[in-house]
Amino acid sequence: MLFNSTEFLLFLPIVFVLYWFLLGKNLKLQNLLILISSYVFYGWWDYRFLSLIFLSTIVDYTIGLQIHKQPSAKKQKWLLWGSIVFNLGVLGFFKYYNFFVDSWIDMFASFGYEIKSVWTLNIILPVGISFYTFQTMSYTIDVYKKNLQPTKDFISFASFVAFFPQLVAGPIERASNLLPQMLKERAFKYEQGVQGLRLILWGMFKKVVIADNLSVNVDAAFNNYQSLDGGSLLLGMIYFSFQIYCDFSGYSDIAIGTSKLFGFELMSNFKYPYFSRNIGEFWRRWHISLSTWFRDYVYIPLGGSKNGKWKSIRNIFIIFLVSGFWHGANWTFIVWGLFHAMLFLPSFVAKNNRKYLNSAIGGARVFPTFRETIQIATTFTLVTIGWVFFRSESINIAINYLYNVVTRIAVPTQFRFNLIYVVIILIFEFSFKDRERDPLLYKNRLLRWIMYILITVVTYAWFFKEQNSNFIYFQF
Amino acid sequence: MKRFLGRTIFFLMLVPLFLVLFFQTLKVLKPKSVENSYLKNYYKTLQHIEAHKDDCKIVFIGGSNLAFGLSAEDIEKEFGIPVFNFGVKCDIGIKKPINDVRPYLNKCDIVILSPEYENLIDADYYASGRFEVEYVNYDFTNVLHSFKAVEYFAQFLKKVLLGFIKGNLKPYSVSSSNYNGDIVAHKNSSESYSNFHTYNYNLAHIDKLAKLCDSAFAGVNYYLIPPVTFQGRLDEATKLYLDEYYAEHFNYPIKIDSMTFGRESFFDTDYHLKYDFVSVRTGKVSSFLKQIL
Repeated sequence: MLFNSTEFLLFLPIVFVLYWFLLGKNLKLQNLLILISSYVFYGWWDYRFLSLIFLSTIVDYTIGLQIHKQPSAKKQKWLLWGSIVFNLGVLGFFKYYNFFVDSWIDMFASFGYEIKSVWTLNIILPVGISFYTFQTMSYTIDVYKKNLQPTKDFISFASFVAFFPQLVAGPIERASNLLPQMLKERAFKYEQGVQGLRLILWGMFKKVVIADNLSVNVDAAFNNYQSLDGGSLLLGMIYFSFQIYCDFSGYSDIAIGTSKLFGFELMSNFKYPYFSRNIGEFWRRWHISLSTWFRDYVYIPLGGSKNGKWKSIRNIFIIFLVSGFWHGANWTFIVWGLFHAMLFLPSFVAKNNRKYLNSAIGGARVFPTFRETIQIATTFTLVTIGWVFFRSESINIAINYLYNVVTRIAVPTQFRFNLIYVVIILIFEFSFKDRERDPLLYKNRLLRWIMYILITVVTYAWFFKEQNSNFIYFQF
Repeated sequence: MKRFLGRTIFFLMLVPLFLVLFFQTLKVLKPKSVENSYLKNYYKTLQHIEAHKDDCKIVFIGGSNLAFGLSAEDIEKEFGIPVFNFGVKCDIGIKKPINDVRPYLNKCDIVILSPEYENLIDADYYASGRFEVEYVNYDFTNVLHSFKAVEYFAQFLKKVLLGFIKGNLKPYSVSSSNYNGDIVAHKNSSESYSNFHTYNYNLAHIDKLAKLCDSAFAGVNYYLIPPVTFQGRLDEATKLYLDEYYAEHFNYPIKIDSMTFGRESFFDTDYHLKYDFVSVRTGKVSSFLKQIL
C-alpha cells in the first residue's frame, strides 16, 4: 500500500480508531493490531513476500534469544554470523544474484569468452527488503554486543520488524530505539499527534506536489540527454536532486508522522541536507538512519578512524562503497558511492569533516553569510553531479549526460517553469531549517493555519492526479 | 484525544470552506482572454463535429501538426462530405480528443489519427496540457469538479507566465481556425523555424494507443498517418522500425518518408508547416482517401 493512495487515506484512520478507542488499554492487543495492520499494508503490494518477512522475523527472534542464553562467547559469535549470513543471503539472492551473474558473464566476454547466460533468473525484488533486513540485523548485533536484552514477546518483536509506517522505505530503526517502545505502554499525547499530522501533511506535499511534478521533467531530460541543450540538461540534474530529496524525505516524514499518531518516536532521517556546508555535513543530514547504521555496524567494527590514517581511509572507502551497493545492483550506484568517498576524503584528511556538527546555517541570522552560501552552493553542485550517476541507467550514459551539459551549455529551452517548485521548497525549508521534526510550525497561529489549509488544498488537488506514483526508494 | 479529534475535525471542515471561497475567487479572477484563447478551438471544432454526428464524415485527430498542416476544408470540397481537423495541441495528449470525439462517430465515418512524435516520448502520454484545455472551458459551478480547478488555474498561470517570460505569446485565438478546424491564421506569416530537435521514442506508447483505439473506434474505420516532421529528425533505422511498428498495429497507408519536409517548410515549431506547404500535405492525404472512398 502506498502512502499516496486512497487506500491509505482510509486505512490510517481505521487503524487509528481501533488502536486508541477499541484497544487503547491493552498493550498486547495494540501490538497485535500493529502486526496485522503491517502485514495488510505490506501484503497489499504482494502478499507472497510476507513469508519472507515472517521467516526473517522467526530467524532473528530465535537467534536473539539463543545468543542471550548461550554462555560460550564462541557460540554466540557463531549464532551472530548465522543471522548475518541468513539476512545477507536473502538480500543477496533477491537483490544481487543477477547482478553478479551478469557481471561475471560480462567480464568473461571482455576477455573474448562468450558464455550463454543460463544462470540469470527472473527474480522479483521484494519491496523494502534492504530496509527490514538491516533493521532485523541491528537487533541481533545489539543483542550480541549486549546493548539490548532480547525480547521473549514474539508479537512485539514481529511488530518491530514489520512496523508499517517505516517497513518499506525506512527510517531504518535500531532495535534499541523502537523495540523498547513496542514493549512499553503508550498513551496518546496531543502535541505528538499534532506533530504527526503536520509531518504527514508536509511529507505528502513534498512527494505529491514537488517530487511528482519534477519527475516529468527529470524523465524527459534523462531520456533525451542526447538531443537536449546543456541548460535544459542542467535543469534536469537539479530537478532530480530535489525530486529524490522530496520523494524520500517526504516518505520519511509521513513515516515519522504516522508513527507519532500511534505513540512512537522514530529517528530523524533527513535534516535539510541541501543546506550543508560540506560533504561531511551532508552525510550527517542525508538518509541519517542508513549512514549511522553503516557507521555503527560497519565503520566502527572495522576500526573507524582509530587505527591510523591509511586504515581510516580504507574504512571510509568501504562504507561509501557498501552504501552505494546497498542502493542497488548496478555499477552506477557503486560509482556514486566511490564519488562521495572521493568528495569526503579531502575534508577527512584535513580533519574538518566534523566541522559543522550542531550549528544550523546562518546561526541566529535570517540568511546565511556569503561564505556559507558559497559553501552550500558548492556542496549542492557536487552532490548533484553524483546524482547523475545515481539516476542514469549506465555509467556511460551518466558521463555522456554530464559531457553534454558542459559542452552544450546554453540558456535552457525546456523545463524552465518547474524551477518554481525548487524555489517553493527552498523557501519553505529555509523557513524551518533548524527543526526538521516540526515543519510548518510558524509562531503566528493565523499564518500557521493558512499554511495548513493552503498546503492541504494544493496537495489534495495534485493527489488525485498523481496518486499511486511509486516512491523512488521502494526499489531499494 | 478529544482536543486532538475536535481540532482535526474543525480543520477538515475549514478546508472545504476555504475551497468554496477559493473557487469563487478563481471565478472572479478568470481572465476574459481565456474565453477567446487558442485552446477554445478545441471546443469550437468539437461542437461542429457534434453538429454532424448523424452524417458520414471524416475526422482527423492529432496534435497541432494537423491543425497547422492540413486543410480539412479542401478535402471536404474535394470529396463532398464533412471533414474535420481535430488537432489542436500536442500536449493535450491523444486520449482526450479520442474520448471526446467518440460519442459523435458513426459506423460510416472515417477517423484518421496523426499522433505527434512527442506523444511517443515520455510517460506523460496522457499529457498535462489537457488541464489547460479543460480550464478554458471551465465554469466553476460544479463544486465536485472544481477540485481540479486549482490545477487548471496553475496550468493557466504557467501558460501566461511562460508566455510573459518568453515574450512571444502567439497571436492565435479562437478565431484563428475555420469551421473545419484548420488553423488559417498563419497564412501570411513569413516566420521561419530554426531550432530543430530529435528525440527518443518509446514503442510502449504505440501499444497503448492501439489498445485505446480498438475500444474507442469499435466498428469505425480508422487509420493512422505519421505527423509531418523535418528531414533528419529520424534516422533511417528509426523510420523503418516506426513504420513497421505502426503497420503492425494500425491501418497505416502513408509512410513517414512521405510526411517529411525540408527545414525551410516550417515556421514557428518543428511540426508546424508553413501555410504554403499545407496543400502539399493535404494532397498526399487526399490521394490516399481516393483509394478508400
